[in-house]
Amino acid sequence: MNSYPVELLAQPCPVMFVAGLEAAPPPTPPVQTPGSGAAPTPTSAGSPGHPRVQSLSTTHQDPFVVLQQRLRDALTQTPKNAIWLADRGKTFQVHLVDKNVRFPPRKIFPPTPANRLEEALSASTTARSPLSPLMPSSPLHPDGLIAPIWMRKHLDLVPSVFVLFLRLWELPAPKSPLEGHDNQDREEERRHDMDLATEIANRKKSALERGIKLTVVLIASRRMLDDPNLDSRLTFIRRQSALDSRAALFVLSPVSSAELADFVRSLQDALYESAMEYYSAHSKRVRRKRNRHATPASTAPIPPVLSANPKPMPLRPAGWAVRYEYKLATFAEFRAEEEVARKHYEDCWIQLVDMFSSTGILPPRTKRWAEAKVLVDCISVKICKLYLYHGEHARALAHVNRHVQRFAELSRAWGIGEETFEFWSWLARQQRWLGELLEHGLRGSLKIPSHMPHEPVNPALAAQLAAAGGLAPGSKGASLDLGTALQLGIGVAPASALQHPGYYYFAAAKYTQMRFDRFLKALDLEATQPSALSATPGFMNEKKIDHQALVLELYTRAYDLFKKFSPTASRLTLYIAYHIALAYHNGGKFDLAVRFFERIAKTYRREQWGMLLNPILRTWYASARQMHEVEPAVRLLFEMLAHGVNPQDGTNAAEELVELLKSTSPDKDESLVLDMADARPLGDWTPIFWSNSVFVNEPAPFQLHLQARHGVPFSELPVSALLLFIGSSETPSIVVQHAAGEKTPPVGDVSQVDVGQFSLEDAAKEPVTVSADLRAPSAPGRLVVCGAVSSALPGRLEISKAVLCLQEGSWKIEVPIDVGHRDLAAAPTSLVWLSSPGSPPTFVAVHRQDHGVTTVKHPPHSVAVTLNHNSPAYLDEAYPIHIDIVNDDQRTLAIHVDVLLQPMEHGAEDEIRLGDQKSSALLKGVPCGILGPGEKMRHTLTLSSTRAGGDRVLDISVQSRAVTGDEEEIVAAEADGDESLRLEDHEGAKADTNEMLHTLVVPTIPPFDCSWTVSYARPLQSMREPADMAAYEPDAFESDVAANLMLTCTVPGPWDVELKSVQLDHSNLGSSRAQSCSSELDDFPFVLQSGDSYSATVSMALSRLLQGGPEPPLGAVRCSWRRASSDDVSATSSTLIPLPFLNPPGDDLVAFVDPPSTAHLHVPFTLRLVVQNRHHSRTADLALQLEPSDNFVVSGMRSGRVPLLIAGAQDEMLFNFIPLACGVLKLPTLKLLDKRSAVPAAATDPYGDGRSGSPAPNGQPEADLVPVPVRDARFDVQFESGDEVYGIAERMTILVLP
Amino acid sequence: MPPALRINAVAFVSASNAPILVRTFVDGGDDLKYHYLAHTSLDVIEERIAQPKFNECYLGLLFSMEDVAVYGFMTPLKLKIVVALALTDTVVRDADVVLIFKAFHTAYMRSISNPFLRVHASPESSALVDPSPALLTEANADARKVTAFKRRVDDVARSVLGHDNILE
Repeated sequence: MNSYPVELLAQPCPVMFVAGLEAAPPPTPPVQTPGSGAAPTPTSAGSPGHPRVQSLSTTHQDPFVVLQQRLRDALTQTPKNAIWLADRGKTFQVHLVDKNVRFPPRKIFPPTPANRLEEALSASTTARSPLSPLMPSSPLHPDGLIAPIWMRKHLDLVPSVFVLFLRLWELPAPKSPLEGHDNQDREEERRHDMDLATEIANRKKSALERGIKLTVVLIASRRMLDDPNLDSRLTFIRRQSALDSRAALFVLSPVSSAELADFVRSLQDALYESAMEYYSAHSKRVRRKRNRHATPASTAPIPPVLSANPKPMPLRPAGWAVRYEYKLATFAEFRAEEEVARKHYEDCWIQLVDMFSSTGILPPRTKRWAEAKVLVDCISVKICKLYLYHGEHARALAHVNRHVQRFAELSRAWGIGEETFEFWSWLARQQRWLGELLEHGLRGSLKIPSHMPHEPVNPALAAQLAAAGGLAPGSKGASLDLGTALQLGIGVAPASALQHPGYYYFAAAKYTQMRFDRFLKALDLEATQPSALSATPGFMNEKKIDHQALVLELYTRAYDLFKKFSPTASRLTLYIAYHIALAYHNGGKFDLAVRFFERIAKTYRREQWGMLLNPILRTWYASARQMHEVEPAVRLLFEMLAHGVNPQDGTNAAEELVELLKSTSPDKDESLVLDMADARPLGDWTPIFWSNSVFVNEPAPFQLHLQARHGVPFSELPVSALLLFIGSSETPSIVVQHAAGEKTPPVGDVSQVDVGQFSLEDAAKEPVTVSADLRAPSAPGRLVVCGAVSSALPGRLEISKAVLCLQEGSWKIEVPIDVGHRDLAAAPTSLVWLSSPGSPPTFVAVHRQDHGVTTVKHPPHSVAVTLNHNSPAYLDEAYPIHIDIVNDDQRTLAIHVDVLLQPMEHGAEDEIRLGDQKSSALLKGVPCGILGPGEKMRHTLTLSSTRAGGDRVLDISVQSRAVTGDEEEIVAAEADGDESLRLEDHEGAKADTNEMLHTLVVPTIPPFDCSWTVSYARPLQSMREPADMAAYEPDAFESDVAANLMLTCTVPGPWDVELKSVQLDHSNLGSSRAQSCSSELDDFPFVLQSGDSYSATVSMALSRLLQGGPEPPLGAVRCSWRRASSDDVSATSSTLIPLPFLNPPGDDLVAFVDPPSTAHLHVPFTLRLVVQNRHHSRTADLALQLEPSDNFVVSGMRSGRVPLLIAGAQDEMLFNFIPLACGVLKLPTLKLLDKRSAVPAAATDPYGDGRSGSPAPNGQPEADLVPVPVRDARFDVQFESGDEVYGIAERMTILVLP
Repeated sequence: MPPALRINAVAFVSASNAPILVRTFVDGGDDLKYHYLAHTSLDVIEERIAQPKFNECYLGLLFSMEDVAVYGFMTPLKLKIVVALALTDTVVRDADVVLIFKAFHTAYMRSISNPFLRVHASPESSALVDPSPALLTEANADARKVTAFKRRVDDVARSVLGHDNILE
């Protein structure tokens, strides 16, 4: 934008002139000096007669000087002639001026017209502005539009408000508060005020002429503010100077900076309205003139263009309209009415374009035309800026595009189309100002929008618009607001999408480059065919311009901006860097260009954008040639060869290389090693090993295919040798010397070089050397180096590197090529193995990914491992698994065994044991000693399973290592448990290992299937008395129930079991007591065959405390046994069979009778009824009924109530029976009824134990009472599973003998 | 499809940012320029996809430079498609551009799905679950496969442009 007048671009702000704040040196306080009239000069301030003022002003401590300085700072904060103002509200452009500043003349009378035409046009004798085109003295006379000086006038020379700072005269401070002022002082004060008022009045007069608001700020000391006279003095001054009543007079005393800022703010606020009025008045005046002008202009015929007479015509109506619109826009800008301003500017732009369209009105390449072009560009800047102020990016850019498009069309019409440098110069300028404007804006408030697609804000409306085709380009709906389209999320107009200024600088740079190209063309043309062009000032100017520097500057700015806006993006900046490098190259700065190329090429190589690399390589090479740097040039030629690029059209890289090498000589004698690590190699190099693994000392066949690419003729390169490096060797293993036409005539497209079979160790001492024609392969041919390599050591084997050696004259060049890495993107084609080099050659496809590598391994050990065991295993036994290892190999092997027991799901606790190691899960590296060739060994792994049956899974890994003589000792020591020597530490010992894996599933079953049968019986002995203290002894035991437990064990497995003993484990019987176990009587040991059963009975006495629910298993039966088939007689396994749950009968009231088995007729016998209350707390209330019988005579209670039985008590009742008949007679039925069981539920006592329960009501029918069973003590046996079977008293019988 | 939408070039770039195919549809077009545009657009694409919550394939207008507007698209497998449209003042509907991208994507998918691509491919390429885009690169020695891909891409461009000025 520097090429445009700054006045036409600056953001107008209301102008405020501030006078009376002259800078400190020389210190001149703006104090009205009496007697010096209306024109005090800085020198007059220091005149004698004012010693007090003088003394005040000379010192820097003077608060007034400080105040002035601060005022200056506070007022001049708005930057001058800024193009972008972020804060445009109520700010003034402040100019510090002299108090007596003169304004430019407003209107003057034109001098006498020189000729009649002008007389006719300026017939009126009205006064005119000196800048008017109608004034002959004006720079615009007679047909200029707007001169920057007009803008300058309003920006710098004429204010809208005038602020005058004046010092109020003050009496010296009284020496004491009591001292008053005399009349003489008052008079002097009045005289000073009068002078002040006169000065103000003079200034006011000149301001009033221009409609400028004058405001006076009187500076007074703080003391003065409290002076009661101040008001009257101010009134006097105002009246005398005819100041306005409003916002025209301020008084300021020295205050702090913060307060001063407030003052300045309020001063500007107060005056802003006046400023607006001032500019409104201007606008009104201009509008009036425009309207007056428009009426006759529309009808007045345009004076015919006098082509013969180039005498300038007076300004046409269109020109006047442009002037008025421009002025209206400017004044609107002053008033910060940006919308209005933009509309006027747009009208102005349209009018100007109309003027440009007619070569009659604005003939091209004239001064006025050039001025108008500058003006229209500046107007475009303004319109663009006014849009950008409001964030209307799309419209701003749309205007720029319209401007560029329209004037590009016009330029073609003017004969300065795309083929001229002027056109590109102008276009570059447009892009540049846009970039600069955006930069200005970004420093202010502008934000660059993101063009990320987003969801439509209003999808329905967007869809509707889209469906209606309202946005289809070309349709009438295309006029739809671009910004709206973006907001709706429909899309963007790419040309109107604002980007960061880097893009526009970049475009400017490109256009400048075009401009330079066109200029060079024109220059050439002028040299051969001189034309009028060379004499034009434009052409002369163009000659002076350093285009290269300009292009570089623009590219560099774009580069910086791209870096700034996307710091991570390297490709965009590289793209610009490429252009910079080109510019440097074109400008002859080859060293700088090369530095750029080096950086750029790195990325392009890495990302495999060969197409982009090609022009870089060419230019880079050209630069290198210019700099006479041979080595980089050679390197670049190689890279170009690899990419198939020629240095220039019509040349050949290979030929160029040979020529270069012939014409130069190396600096050093050593061969030149070209580091081409990141560059594309010459041709496609593919190493292939036939198989992916070989044994030690076994030859591994390999082939190295070198396929030439198109444009890489090896035949033209001075190839002397090819070195191949295998493995990590520092020296080449294979050397293929070039010998023209020797030995390997190419068959078809393939030439084969057979290097034969060799060992790596031999090749390390002396490389295998063969001769072949290395210059044979030309695309699409291939050179195949084949052979077989063997290695004595295991490891990876690959062709790690190839070096292509070239020799030409004194040049020796080595090009290392990384053949291991195959470029997937460059060579995605199939991989083949040359199977027969005949004609035609045949290939076999290779489908291995790691085709370039083979692994050298030791041959596997021939070791036979067998596992012997007799499944299923029994729980609780030590189950042997025999591992038999036979060494069928020729090597001596050290054997280690790993055993992993897979964890069981149900928490079995198992153990494995091998040798002296045992574990519940893993045995690792158990040394099993050394096995010589043909030897065998057996190790026994013991598996002990407990708790649960099921399959046990064992992973057995037998590892063998080949050992040599001295290692055997180590292995032997290790096997003995000496940890200080480990085979792993021994060098090379680990190399030759082998491992055999076996998975073993061992089904495991329990040795016995056990079942229990439990029965209960009640002992007949009487209960202890409730108060018997013996019951409370610690070891007191009262058996209430006798339990009989019968165990039955069956052998389920196929293996016979020798039972050694069965014992009751007394250790944990709790509150029960074992009385006997039948096994004590058995003869052990004996063998139980599969399916055999063994039974034993355990008698137990249970305490009454146990009653009332199942009992936990107490105690166990321990069976000691061994597998009968086992050889080990002494081995004993022990299985614990836990006792079953006991659930003894839990009835509380028990009644027994014990009739004799036989009786004699008519002989009385006694029947005892025992009633026991076994409840722990409840008292029993029973009723007895004895049913009559014909067979017996009974004496005793027939019917009645049994005495209350407290808890734990028993009662006996005796009945005498006399049998009356013989035979098996049924005894009379004794019925015991529990009266308490009949208590209704509602009457149940809250304690539930009957302590306070009420007895059953007397009227209770007995049928509802629950009978208590009366049992025959002779048969009282109860089984756990079922009901009582024996001993029911109702069925009791007796045999009566005669 | 609005007739004014003009495709100048299309570029397919692999997930590793290597070019697969750059096709220009401009008479006497500067191939190199479109290579550069495709390459530089990768920067903007990376910038866009780095933004949080961005999960669209369509990346919108990347930038406009000189006389073209560059639009970007990235498939879930990170294949990038870059289309250079002739710069226009009128609104380009995102929906239309997405349609073009999808057509190009389909052309790519159809070509890469060709099972015969793998027949002569190197083990590295064919071992991948997703066929390597390198199979379709112009550097590929077997030009026949690329031709089919080019033809499909040209078909898409032709249908958008509405006339037959595609360079054969």
